[in-house]
Amino acid sequence: MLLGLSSGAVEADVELDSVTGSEHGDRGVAHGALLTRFAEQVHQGDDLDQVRAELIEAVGEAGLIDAAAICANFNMMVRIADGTGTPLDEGTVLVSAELRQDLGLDDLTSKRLTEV
Amino acid sequence: MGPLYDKAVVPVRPDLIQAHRQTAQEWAAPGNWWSGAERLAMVTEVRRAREADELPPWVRPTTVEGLIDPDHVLAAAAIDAVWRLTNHPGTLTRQWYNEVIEWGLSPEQYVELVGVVATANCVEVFASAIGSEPIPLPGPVEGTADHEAVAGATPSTHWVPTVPGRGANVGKALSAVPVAVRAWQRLSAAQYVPLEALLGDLQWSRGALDRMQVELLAARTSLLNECFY
Repeated sequence: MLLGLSSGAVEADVELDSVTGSEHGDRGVAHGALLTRFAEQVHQGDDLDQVRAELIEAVGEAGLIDAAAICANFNMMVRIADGTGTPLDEGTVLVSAELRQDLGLDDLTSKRLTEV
Repeated sequence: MGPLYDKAVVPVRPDLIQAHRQTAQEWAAPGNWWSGAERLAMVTEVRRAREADELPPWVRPTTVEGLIDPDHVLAAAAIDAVWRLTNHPGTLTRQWYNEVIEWGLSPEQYVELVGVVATANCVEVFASAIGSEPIPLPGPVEGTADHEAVAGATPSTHWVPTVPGRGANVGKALSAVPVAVRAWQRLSAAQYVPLEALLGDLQWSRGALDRMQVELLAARTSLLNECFY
């Protein structure tokens, strides 16, 4: 959702399928494919050293630190959301329906819409 | 505690180091429902779970012979919850949560455990992502949990008790346990986007990455963890 909103704020043409894998290319985000590969390698992979070096080349040392911090942060947030049974926010359910279907999110075990 | 990230291949922002240091110090101190020794034991189990050969989600590590010290400071229910939250967060269900409570944790103990496990995974992932060793852990601070019950916390929208209020549901998720709220908010402010800029300034940036790059990393990481939210 926030990727779509932030691209709208600068009138950028971002394809949201970029979040499903680095094979889709940059899709309107500067170094998008490389950033996605970095997130994938941080999650699980044998090529993290190489991707880290490429990322420093592309966005600098401060960019690497910020990218690592964001990946770390969302490893925290997913455990908070999924560990507590946090449901999707009421105002988001309808507007995200098409996006959820396109990205396959409705098939996830962690799907929680209006459970009480 | 010794220095943090002093052997990292790139320099780490001082505010980030400070946030991680403060988080580690809070792990070692008594919380609302667990002692400092128990909270540190959770962090240690997060590390063990991340390094272990992955068990299927339905296998409780305390049932695997030789995996867990029989004299562990944490009860089996807590250890099993730490491992499941660490290695299989996308598989959690309300039924599993109910089982954890039946195994003997109170809802408030569970919420605090989620907070420690989530922040520990966060700090571990950061160290690994920048090619650094895990941060050193301080020794436990003596004392007991204060058992601070939060007025108005009750199960409603989430599985766990939460305090009703405005804002995103994930922001309320740990609201029954103040020490857990402080920890995630501190880390999130240092690592992601300040709360006021989340929707209030969609172009906010620290400078190195623009907001779209930030949100792409956030969304990809969430999806890799199979997080619907």
